[in-house]
Amino acid sequence: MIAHAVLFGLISWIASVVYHALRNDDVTRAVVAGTKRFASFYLLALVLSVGVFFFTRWL
Amino acid sequence: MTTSNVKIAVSLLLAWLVPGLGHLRYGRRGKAILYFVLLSLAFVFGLWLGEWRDVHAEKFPLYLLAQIWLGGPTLLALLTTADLRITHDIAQLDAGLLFTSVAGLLNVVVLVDLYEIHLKIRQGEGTAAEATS
Repeated sequence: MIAHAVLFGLISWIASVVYHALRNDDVTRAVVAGTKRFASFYLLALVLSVGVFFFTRWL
Repeated sequence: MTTSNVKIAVSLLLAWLVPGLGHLRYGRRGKAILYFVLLSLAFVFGLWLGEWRDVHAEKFPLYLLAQIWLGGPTLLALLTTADLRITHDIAQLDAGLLFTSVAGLLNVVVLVDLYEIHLKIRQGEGTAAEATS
C-alpha cells in the first residue's frame, strides 16, 4: 500500500510539473509551482485517507 | 505549404518521437530538457515496474492507445520487448501500465504546447509585418 502511495505520488508530481510548465516559460518556477500544488493536494489526500481509515474502524 | 507549416509539422513529428525535441527546435531549451527528463523517466520507470512487459499490442491494446502518443519509446519497446512472455505475477504491472500510459498522454499536452508556441510566433510575425507596412 505504501509502495502504491509513493508511486501514485511520483506520477502525480510529474503531471503537476508538466502542467505548470505549460503556463510558465521559466522552468525553475514551473517546477516550484508544480511541486507546491502537488504537495498541497497530496497532503489533502493523505489526511482524507487517514481520516476515512480511522472513521471506518470507529464504525 | 509554407516554411512555417513545414517547420511545425516536422517539429510535431520530432516531439512525438522524442519528448522535448520539438521545443528544442523552437528555442525553448529549458522546457525541452524538462519534458524530455520527466516523460522519459516516467516511461522507462513504468517499463521497469512492469518488468519490460507492459507495452504489448495484443495483451494491453487499450493501454497502447495512450502509450503510442510517446511514439519513439513506445515503438522501441514494442520492437525490443515483444518476445518477452509473462510467466509469473508481476507485482507492479498495474503501476507500470499507469506510468507508461500517463507519460504517453502527457506527451499529447506537450504537443499542444508546442503548437501554441508556433501560433504565438506566427502571430508575432504577422503583427510585426503589419507594423512595418
